[in-house]
Amino acid sequence: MAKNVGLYSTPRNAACDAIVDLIDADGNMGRLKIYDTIDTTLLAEIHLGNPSFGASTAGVATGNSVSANETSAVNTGTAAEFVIESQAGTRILSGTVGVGSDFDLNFNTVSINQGDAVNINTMTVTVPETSATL
Amino acid sequence: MTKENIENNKVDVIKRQPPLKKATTLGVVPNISLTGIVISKKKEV
Repeated sequence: MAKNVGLYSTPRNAACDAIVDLIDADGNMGRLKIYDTIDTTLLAEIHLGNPSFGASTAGVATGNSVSANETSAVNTGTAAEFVIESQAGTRILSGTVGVGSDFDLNFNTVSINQGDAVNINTMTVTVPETSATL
Repeated sequence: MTKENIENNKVDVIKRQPPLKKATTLGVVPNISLTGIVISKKKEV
């Protein structure tokens, strides 16, 4: 029989909250950094809200409004990856950047020029219900 | 099954036990979904 482990909403919420709460566990706002390749060129850094996410419902945590949108890009390049980290620099989440819903961070363009305004409109983190969805 | 049968089958039963496995894990990797927009500030020439 195939494996198909299920996770109910209470532990999903607990897991999701535990993850996103690490972003601002020290009481300071976290940051979302956009790179061409992680640890290569930082293109933009966005300060998240504090707290960065609300309490999870059905395993989904929704991001609060970011603290400093319209962040000016610090370098020119092609965005490919992002990292969400605490202010102290502890990395919590990462993902891909691209145009379209196939990417974790869906932008209108990946071409970022120094000085461009970079906005984050929506953020959700989901802990899946079953292993089959992974 | 009699006690004698149980004794006789003990070795066989042990042999039939599947190897120990680690507990099946869910492999909880969260899905992340973000949207954003880049507004060009390039000066028009």
